[in-house]
Amino acid sequence: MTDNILEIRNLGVRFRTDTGITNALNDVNFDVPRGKVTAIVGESGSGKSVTANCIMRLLQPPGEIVSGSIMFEPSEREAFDVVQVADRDPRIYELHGGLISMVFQEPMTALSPVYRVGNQVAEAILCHRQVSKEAALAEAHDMLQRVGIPDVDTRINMYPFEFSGGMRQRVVIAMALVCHPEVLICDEPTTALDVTIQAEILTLIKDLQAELHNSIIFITHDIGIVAQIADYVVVMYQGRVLEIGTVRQVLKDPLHPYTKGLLAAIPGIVPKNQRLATIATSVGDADITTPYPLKDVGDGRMVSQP
Amino acid sequence: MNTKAGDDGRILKVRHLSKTFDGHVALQDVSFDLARADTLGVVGESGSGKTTLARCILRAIDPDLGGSVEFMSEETGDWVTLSTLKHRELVPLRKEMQMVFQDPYSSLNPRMTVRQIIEEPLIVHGERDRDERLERVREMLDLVQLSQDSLTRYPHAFSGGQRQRIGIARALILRPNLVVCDETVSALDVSVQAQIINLLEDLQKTLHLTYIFVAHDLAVVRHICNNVLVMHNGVVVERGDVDDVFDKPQRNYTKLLLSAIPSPDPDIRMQPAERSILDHAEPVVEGYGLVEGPVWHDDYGLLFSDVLYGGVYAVDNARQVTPVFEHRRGIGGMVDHVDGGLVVSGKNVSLKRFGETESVLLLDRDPDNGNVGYNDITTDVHGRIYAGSLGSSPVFDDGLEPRAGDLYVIDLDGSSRIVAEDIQLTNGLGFSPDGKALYHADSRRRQIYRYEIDKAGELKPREVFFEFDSGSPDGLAIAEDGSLWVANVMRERVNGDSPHDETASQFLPGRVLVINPNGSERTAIEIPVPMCTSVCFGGAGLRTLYIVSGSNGVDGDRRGGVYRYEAPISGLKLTPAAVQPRLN
Repeated sequence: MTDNILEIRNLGVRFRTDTGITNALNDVNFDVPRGKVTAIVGESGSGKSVTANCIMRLLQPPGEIVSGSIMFEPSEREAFDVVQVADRDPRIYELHGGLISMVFQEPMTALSPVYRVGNQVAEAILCHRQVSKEAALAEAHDMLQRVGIPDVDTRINMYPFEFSGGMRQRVVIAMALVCHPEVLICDEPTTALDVTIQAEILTLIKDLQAELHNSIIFITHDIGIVAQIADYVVVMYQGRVLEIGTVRQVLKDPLHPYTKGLLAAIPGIVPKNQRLATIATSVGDADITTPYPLKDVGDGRMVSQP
Repeated sequence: MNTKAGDDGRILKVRHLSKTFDGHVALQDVSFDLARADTLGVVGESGSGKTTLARCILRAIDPDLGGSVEFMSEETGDWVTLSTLKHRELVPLRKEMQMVFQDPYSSLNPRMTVRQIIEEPLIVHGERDRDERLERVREMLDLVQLSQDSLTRYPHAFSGGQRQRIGIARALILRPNLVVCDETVSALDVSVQAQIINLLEDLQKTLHLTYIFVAHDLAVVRHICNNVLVMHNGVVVERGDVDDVFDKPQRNYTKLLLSAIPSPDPDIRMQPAERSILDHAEPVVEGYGLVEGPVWHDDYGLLFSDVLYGGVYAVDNARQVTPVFEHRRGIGGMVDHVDGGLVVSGKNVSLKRFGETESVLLLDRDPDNGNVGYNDITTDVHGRIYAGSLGSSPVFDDGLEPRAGDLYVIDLDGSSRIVAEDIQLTNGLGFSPDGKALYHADSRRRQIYRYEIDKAGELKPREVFFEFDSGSPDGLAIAEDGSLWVANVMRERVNGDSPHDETASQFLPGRVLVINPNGSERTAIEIPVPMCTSVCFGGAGLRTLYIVSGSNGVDGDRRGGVYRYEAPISGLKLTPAAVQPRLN
């Protein structure tokens, strides 16, 4: 078993539309270390979510993977390339929610409005394992308790609309974790929530990770969340990876001009009376658009530079 | 800038603004002033009433009757009361106040060109000259840094940040003075957000704009605002200079919000406060005027008085209220006396002991010598009564020369003497559990004094035990561990108004501050209504904290009530002696 549960190499994705071809991902390379939290940070259009969808094999036309590989090595299993798995291969079914599962930004779109939450969590179990409905419901009950839903006996029979936003996201997390996935992908799971509820959900994800030791890919645009939850950081910009390192390396000593610019644009970091930097001003003459390949600069850090 | 009559640098005066939707209170009694060219942040979770407040101010929705919003109109050069104007009369004023919305996608009509979007307000307000309109639109495009060839394009051709610039241009083309930004930068990426924040700051400098900035992102608010209102459940729970509030939050809710912000420094670990710090005291009875002097009486249970509407009442465990005796207004302090009677004190009330059949005068008030009555009272382990006289003050509005009060002691034989002088206002008196010290809260000096008691039972000179950073102390109770449980009135003057103008006060929800015997702060218990006036321990084993609250003293106001709080004092043993000293 290698140290990395996922190794993404030279991944290229394009979207063929009426107006032309957009290269959504260009030569994306990074590893997801086993049992750690890897944050992918970037602005809209940087390719964070497209990368996640490729790992889950959820990329829909007109998007298509044009190059590269995503080597996935679950524990006690042979490694395989997710990109090469055929659409009708049963491993696709295993991937979805079994080996890898996902928590989305808007919990209401991930939950069906017409089924009771208990049944929705149990359904995830019934999809992947041969157990009775009663056993699945009992497991769903335990999982809902674990994610901090109060009064589960009553709540399990309620519908999503009867839950607050934070409680819905807890249900989605319960659904995602109930089959003990090896990789959990969180795509902006707290963006739609109040800061207080966000803190609760982040604490929950951290606590569960410490308990279950799964590998987490955490997609966000919020540097504060990256600082609080991640072990490793992948900075993306316009479909490329610009910088990879540990959370301290990247946030305390950013090397790429874009990362520096991103940090200088945050109101919490910049002193009150100082003007916020925009990417354009702080990047200045530095070239951030030429797709230089990632270079190893020591200490396990990678930076896109000439 | 204009210097017309009535212009005192303020652009907005909001007083007692409330809004109820189908019985649900979305906004309750919000008052504040806004200075011209200032930036006021309004923060809180979803459902806290931030957007309702913004919309009530601009009359996008009509606030409840009773509150008022006054706006300094540049056109008329005088204050106009927005909250009561007819919609027709509001139209010309709309030019002076505008709003920028959160969602740059849904707030722009996709079928209109940028030119049509930005010039529409001019057409609505009757600008007929096409060339003039085009000229103004071109000016706005420069101001918000969009290229002139944007004019004929449609919103879909623009990114989120550019669309927000279009929304800002539309809001500013009428040259407003007040701009309400409702989550204007929330939907934007961080680098685009930085551009829009910089743009808003630049425009404020060039155009002398006043902003109300509604946002849930506290870091953004701290960056661009001078002042902030923190809202929770439709009530302003804290307000002030943004750095003061963020560096030294006083309210549990503000602490909860701030503790939840993830720091961008990985070495500063987020330690979100537990939501249970918001658990506040639960109501026992409500609907009274100014409730004071709670005391736990062996026979009656909890007794309280209503200073505003008069009377002394008892509450039983089933929350049934029984009048104990009628009395005109004014009773503020009560103590259960060793002789079985009840001693009462108050403004314009002489100190009397009420027994079953007779009442005994203990100390007469003496208005001619500047003593209009007595405020709080207590008794020591020997059964002597300590009473603080009110003195007189301009606040009482009784035409007397201002005079400080004194602390009296009444011995068991009925003789009385002064034991301490120069007391601005006695709010709260109580003995330490060992009887060796007397605590005394002075609400005007916002301090608690401590008097040690010598072997002969006399008070030594006082020393300052605790000073209040925010609000002022009122009644207090002392627990067996020596901790002081002090009612903390959170009342703030709205800037610039007369100190004696009651309508200019903003009452924040009340709280009880718990102070350790060494003078350090332990915790704060909050009650959901303004003006926490006094506390006592009661119930089985004296383990329940009863908190009473009052309205702001305006006739017809019935927001006073009795609240109880149990959770954190379970496990804390209270001896009756500490709370209600008795003989033998």
